[in-house]
Amino acid sequence: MSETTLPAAVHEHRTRAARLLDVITTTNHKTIGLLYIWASLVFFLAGGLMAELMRTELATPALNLVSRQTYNELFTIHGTTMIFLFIAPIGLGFGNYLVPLQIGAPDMAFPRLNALSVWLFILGGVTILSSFGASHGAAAVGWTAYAPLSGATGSPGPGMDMWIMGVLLTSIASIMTAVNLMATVFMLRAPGMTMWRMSLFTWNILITSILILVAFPPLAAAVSMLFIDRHFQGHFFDPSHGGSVILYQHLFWFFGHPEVYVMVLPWFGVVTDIIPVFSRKPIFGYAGFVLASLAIAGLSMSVWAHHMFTTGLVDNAFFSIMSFLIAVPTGIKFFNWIGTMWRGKLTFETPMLFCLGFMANFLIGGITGVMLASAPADYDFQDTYFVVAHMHYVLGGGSLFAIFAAFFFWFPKMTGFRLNERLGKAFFWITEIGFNLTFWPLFISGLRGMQRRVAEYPPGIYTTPNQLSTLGAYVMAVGVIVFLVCVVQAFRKKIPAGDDPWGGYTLEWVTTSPPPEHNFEWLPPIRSERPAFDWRHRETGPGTPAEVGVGPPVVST
Amino acid sequence: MRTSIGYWGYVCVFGFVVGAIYWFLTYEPAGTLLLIFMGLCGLVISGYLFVRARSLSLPEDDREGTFEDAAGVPIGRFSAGSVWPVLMGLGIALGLQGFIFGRWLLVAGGVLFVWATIGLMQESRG
Repeated sequence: MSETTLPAAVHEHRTRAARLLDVITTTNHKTIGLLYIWASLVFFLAGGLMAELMRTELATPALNLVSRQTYNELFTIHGTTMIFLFIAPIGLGFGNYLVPLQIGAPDMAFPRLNALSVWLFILGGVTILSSFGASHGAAAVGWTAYAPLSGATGSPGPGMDMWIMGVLLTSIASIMTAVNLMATVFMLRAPGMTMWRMSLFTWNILITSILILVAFPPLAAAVSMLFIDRHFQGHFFDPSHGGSVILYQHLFWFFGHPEVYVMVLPWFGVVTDIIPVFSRKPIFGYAGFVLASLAIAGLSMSVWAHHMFTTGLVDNAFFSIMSFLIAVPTGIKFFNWIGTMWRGKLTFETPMLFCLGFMANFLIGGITGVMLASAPADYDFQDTYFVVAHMHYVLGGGSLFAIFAAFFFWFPKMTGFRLNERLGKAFFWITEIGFNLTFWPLFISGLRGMQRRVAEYPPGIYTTPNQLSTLGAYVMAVGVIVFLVCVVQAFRKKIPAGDDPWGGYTLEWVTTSPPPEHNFEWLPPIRSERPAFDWRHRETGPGTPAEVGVGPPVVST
Repeated sequence: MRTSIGYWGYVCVFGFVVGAIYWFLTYEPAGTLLLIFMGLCGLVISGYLFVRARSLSLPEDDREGTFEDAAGVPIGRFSAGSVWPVLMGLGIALGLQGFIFGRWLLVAGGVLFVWATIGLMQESRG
């Protein structure tokens, strides 16, 4: 393999085509991370557009914008896009960019495998979205693609097949990225960077990777079996030949529930890296946070059938208890965050605002999750808008807000440019108001019994909540436009951000913005979980770095 | 290294213990097998690390580790760029479409995939 790197001066004078070729053939983890992030954001805009179309349809009880079939396609591809093409991969994108920087590594462990992953992810996304042009339209079965509806009789046409292949491609990409991230964390840490000194984002990416490694192969198996049933006379999910439709649900949710934590754990890590910086304090309860993440990861593997309570074919008591238990480690994380802010010197820059918004919204999502974990209550809530509101509070109010916190926090590091704080704060407030206006009324329509995944509803008790919700969706769209303006403005004005605009704690803030080809020209000694902070304050006590509140010294290495 | 072994050991113990509890509560084979395989995944890696690397003391695990300690330790070469991953990705994506739109795509994707695999291997050797 060629070891040549062009000097910076040559880089700048290369033609646009040559630079495009550089991006396509890149194996650098930073370029790959940015490809993940930008591609995910494009998919986010596509998924958001579908959401706006659905909300517009639901503004009135009658069917007046799209056909029933189109509506089914919209909610299917909206869910698939947001889950497989936005929230999960953008987490891997930030992981790709930040993990080597935070542990002091020159690159990921397997750079070329990394490049293959990002292309498989992008091609999978293109496959799923282009299925709208297929002869019978896109898949229209919900993002879960339950058999037998997703079989050859229920879903004729290539749209469903393209969904299967797209999901297969993105899941292969995720598995390879997980292996890559784990190998990087285990093998490429800088000297002195023990496991118990890693940033909590890196820890949570490591724990997310094990979830991906255990959960995605069953998904790949499930959709492959579905494809075999559709085209090669398989009978895996065909009861008339001894197959079982419930098997599909088991396989799907054995992936599907850990997937929720694949979409949430990295953002727990992001919030836990950002809050200490804007509280000017070390994290409260480092080891407790790591152990809580491990507990969540374990428990998330053993709660899958709480999505199947109403089938009557699973042990409701077992899954109910396990689901309730997840609230405990999640509660510990709230203690970590509040304890970190307690008596801290808080400042409210955009990333911090998004973290606080994350905490508020995610708490609502978490508490309604405990309500849904109760099997008797779930018989009432199943397939109503209550579930829709709950999962949007977890993934929209939770993950989405933390994604924007991460974006605003690390954008200066990734590009070297500053984002406009006033636009950022406006974006936060518009999104926070719009988000709650969109999803809070859905709890009410859900409790009143409104069914999800239906394009029409009877006029009367459902109309007002739905109209409020649609209004909220438009407010959120305005927020996204403000966000885009903010990003475009940053690239046009090119105001340099400096290497460390926030006074960060983790290792990425000691290198330049953006970092050089192999990340570091030099590294400070790593003696705590805040190496950048220690280095900034090295004169206060040579050899005695600030070891306030670091992880447990006894269990290190 | 102890943390790494413990990490995989946790995956192993969790899979086996919860798998066993789940089996005796429900006698449902699909979920039990999935949990047992989760345990096996942890067992293979933690077992390998326990046997082969238990006593390994690495500079990154040393709380007082300095950069001099790690000097001269080969960590592999980092590719400066390669065209093969994107070609291999295109090959896989095209090949999978072949199952939907016709076998000729499967052939085209397969050829691209094999070509990229050979390219990658030659690049690693060179």
